[in-house]
Amino acid sequence: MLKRAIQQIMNSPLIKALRLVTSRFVPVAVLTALILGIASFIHWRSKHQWSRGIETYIVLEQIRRSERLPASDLAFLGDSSCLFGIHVPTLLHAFPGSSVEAFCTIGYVGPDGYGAMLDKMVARGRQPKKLILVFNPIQFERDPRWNEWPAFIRNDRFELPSGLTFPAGGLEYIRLLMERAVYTPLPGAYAIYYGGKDQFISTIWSEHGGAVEPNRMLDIPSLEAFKATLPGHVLLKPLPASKPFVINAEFEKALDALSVTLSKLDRSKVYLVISPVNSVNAQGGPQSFHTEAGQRIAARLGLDQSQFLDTPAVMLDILYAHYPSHLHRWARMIYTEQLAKTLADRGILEKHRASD
Amino acid sequence: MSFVSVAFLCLVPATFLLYHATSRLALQNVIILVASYVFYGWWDWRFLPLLVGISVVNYAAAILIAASPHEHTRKLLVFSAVAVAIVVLAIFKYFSFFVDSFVTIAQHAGLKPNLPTLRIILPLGISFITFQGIAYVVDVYRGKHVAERDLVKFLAFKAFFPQLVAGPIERASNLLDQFSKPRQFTADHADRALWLLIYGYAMKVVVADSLAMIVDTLFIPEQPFGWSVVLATIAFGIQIYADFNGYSLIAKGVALLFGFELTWNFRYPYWSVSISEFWRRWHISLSTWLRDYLYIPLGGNRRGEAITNRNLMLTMALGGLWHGASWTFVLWGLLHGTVLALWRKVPGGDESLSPIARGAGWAVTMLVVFVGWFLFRAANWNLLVGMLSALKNWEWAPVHSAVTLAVLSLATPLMLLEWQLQAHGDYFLIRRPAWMKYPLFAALAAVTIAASGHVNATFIYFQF
Repeated sequence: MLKRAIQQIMNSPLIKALRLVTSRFVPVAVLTALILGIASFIHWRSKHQWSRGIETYIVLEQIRRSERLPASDLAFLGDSSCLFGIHVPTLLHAFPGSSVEAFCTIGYVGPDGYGAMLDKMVARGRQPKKLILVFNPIQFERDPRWNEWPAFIRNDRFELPSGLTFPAGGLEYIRLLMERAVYTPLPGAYAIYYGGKDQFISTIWSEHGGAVEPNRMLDIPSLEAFKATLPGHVLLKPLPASKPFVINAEFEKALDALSVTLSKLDRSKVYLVISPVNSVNAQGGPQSFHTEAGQRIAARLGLDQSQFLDTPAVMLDILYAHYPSHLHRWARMIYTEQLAKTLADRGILEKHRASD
Repeated sequence: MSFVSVAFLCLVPATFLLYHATSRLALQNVIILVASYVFYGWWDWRFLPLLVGISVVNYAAAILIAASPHEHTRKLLVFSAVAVAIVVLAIFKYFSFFVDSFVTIAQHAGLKPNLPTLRIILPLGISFITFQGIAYVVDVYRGKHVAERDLVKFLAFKAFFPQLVAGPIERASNLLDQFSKPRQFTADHADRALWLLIYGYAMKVVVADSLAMIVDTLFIPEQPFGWSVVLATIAFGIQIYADFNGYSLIAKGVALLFGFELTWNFRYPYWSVSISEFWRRWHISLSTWLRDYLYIPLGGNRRGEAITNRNLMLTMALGGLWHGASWTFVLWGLLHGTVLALWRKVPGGDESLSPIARGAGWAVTMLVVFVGWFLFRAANWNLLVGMLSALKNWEWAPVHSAVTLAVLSLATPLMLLEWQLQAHGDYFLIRRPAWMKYPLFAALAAVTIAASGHVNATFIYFQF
C-alpha cells in the first residue's frame, strides 16, 4: 500500500514536472556554483584591493608609474591642479630630448603623500634629476581626515584586500574581467570624455602623468579655436563670498614630513610652483595667497626663495574647468607654455640636441 | 513586477508548484489568473481594476457581437469596443501630449491658452493590453474567432503574466485557444524553457543593462562629440534589441514552464537586407497587428500607389506614436514609412537580390534603422537638438575607444550566436550533449549573475 502511495505520488503531475525541471536546472546551478567557486578562489589569491573611485585610480596609477618609469630629467609632484594643469607634451615639445614626467595626484594626498611617493622613487634609485612641487592655494587648509591618503601610499594599500568570499568574490572577479571590455561609466563629465576607468588611466600614461579635466570646453576642438574665444575676457574682482586661502597647521605639518624626504635629494634641484586660481576666487589678492604663501612654503621645505618659481597667480575664469584649481584642457596648454618660458629662463630645462 | 526582481523569481516557482499540483484545466486557469493579477498589482494595485475593466469590456463586446444577427449592430458594437480601448489609451497615454502640443501650437500663433494640466501615471503595459483586446474583438467581428464565454479563461488570456506588460501581442487564435486545451509539460518544454531563460536573462542583464549605463551617459543635451552621437546610437540599437528580445525570450521561457507556447516576437532583425524584411523580423506581433488591424483596413496596397504610400505612412506614424507620446516617435514612424514606401519601388523585392545587393541592402537598412533609433532614443526636442548640434565636432576622445570596445565585445558573441541559431535552428544548443551544453549554460548564468549588480529592473518596452 505504501509502495502504491509512493508510486502515486511519484506519478503525480507535480512530481513529474519537478523532476523535469530539476533534472535540467540543477546541473546548471551546480556548475554555476562551481564556476563562481573557482572565480572566488582566483579573486582571493589575487589580493585585489577595493577601489574608492576616481581618486583612488589616480593615486594608484601614479604610484605604478613612479615604480615603473626610469628616472626623468624633471618630474612634477603635486595636487590635482598639477594633474590637470601641467601639460607635459607641451614641455616635451618646448624642450626636445628632455624627459619630463608628472606624478601629480590629488590634494588629499598632500605634501606628506608626495614625500611618500618620492621616498619610493629614491628607494628604487629612480628619483628625478630635478623636481617641481606644485600646490594650489585651495589645499593650504588641510583636513586631518585626509591623512589616510599618505598612509595609503606609504603602506601601498588603501585598505585591506577584499575579504569577499564565495560567491561574492567570484561575482566580483567576473565583473572585473567584464569591465576590461565593457566599461562602467565614470561619474559626470568624466563619463562623457573618458568613458570608464581604463581610458582615464591610459590617458594618464599617454600624457606623461597629466589628464584632461572634462568639466568644460569639450565642445571646443582645438587650442586655436579656444584662443579665438578669449578676446573680451578680463580678470574679475573676487566675489565677496569667496574664502581667503590660509595655510593651516595641518598643512605645515605635512610640509615638514615632505621636507624630511627632500633632505635625501639635492635640494638645490627642487623648485616650487603655486598654481593659479581663477579671478573671482582670488580673495585677498595674489600677494597673500601666492607670493607670501610661496615664500613661506619654500622656507618650510628648506628651499631658497629663488626656488619659488614666478608663475601666474591668477588667471581668467574662462580658463577653468573647475573652480578654483582645475584648468581645462586648452588652458593647461596656455599655462604650460608660460611655465616652459620660466623653466627656460631659469635654465631648469634645456633643449637637448639629438646626439646628447 | 519586473522579470529581473526577487519577487518575480519567487512568483514563478510558487505558481509552478500550485499549477502543476493539479491537472484540472479550470483550476490551472484560475491559478494563472491569480498569479497574473499578483504580477500586475505588485507594480501598482490601483490599476488592477483598469486591467479587469478593459478585459470585461472586451469580453462583453465580443459576446454581444457574436450574438448580434445584424451587421449594422455588429459594426456599431465593434466600433464602440475599439473606441473605448482607444479612449482609455488616449487618456492614460496621450492626454498630456495632446494638451502640451496644442499649447505649443497656440503659443506659436500668439495665443495664451490656459488649459488644465493633468499628469497621469501611465499604467504598465497599457498599449499591449489595449492592442491585444482590440485584436480579439475585431477577430470575433470578422468571424476569425468565436467569442469566449468562460470569463476566467478570457481574463487569464488578457492578463497572462509572462506577456502582460510587454507582449508579444498575442492573438486569441494562438493564446486564448491554449487556455481551452489541456497543456502538456514535457522534457522538451523544460529543455527549451531552460535555454530561453538563460539566453533571455543574459540578453537583458549582460547586454542591454551594460549598454544602458553607457547610453544614458552619452544621450545628453550637452553632448560635445559627434562620434558619441554615432556610437551611442549604435549602442542603443543593440541595447533596445537585447532589452526587448531578452524580455520576449524570458516571457516565452516562463510560458513554457506552464505548457504555453508564445509566438516569436523577434527573428534576428539585424540580419535583414531590406526595411520590409526588418519589419517582418522586428517586434513581429506589433508589425502584424498594424498590418492586420490598421494597414489593411485602410486599404492596404489595393488602391493604387498614392493611397498605398499614404497608408504606409499613416500606419508607421501611428505605430511610432504607439511607442510613446512624443513627436520624435512620430518622426521615427514616418522615417520607416517613407523608406518602406521607397522600398516598394525596388523591383523583385528581397528575394531577387544578388549577394552584393544583399550586402548593400543590409548596410542601407541598418543605416535607416539606426538613424531611426537615434530619433527613438532622443525622446524630446531638447535632447534631439543638443545631440544633433554635437555633429559639428568630430574629435575622437578616449570615450569613443571605450564605447567601440564595449559594443564590439557585446555584439560579436551575440552575432556569432545568432548566426549559429539561424544555421542550426532556434534550439540547436539543447540538442547538444550535456557535457557541452550545461557548462555553456552555467558560464552564461555566472556572467549574468555577476552583471546583475548594475541590473536595471525596468524594461524599455514596459513604458509603452
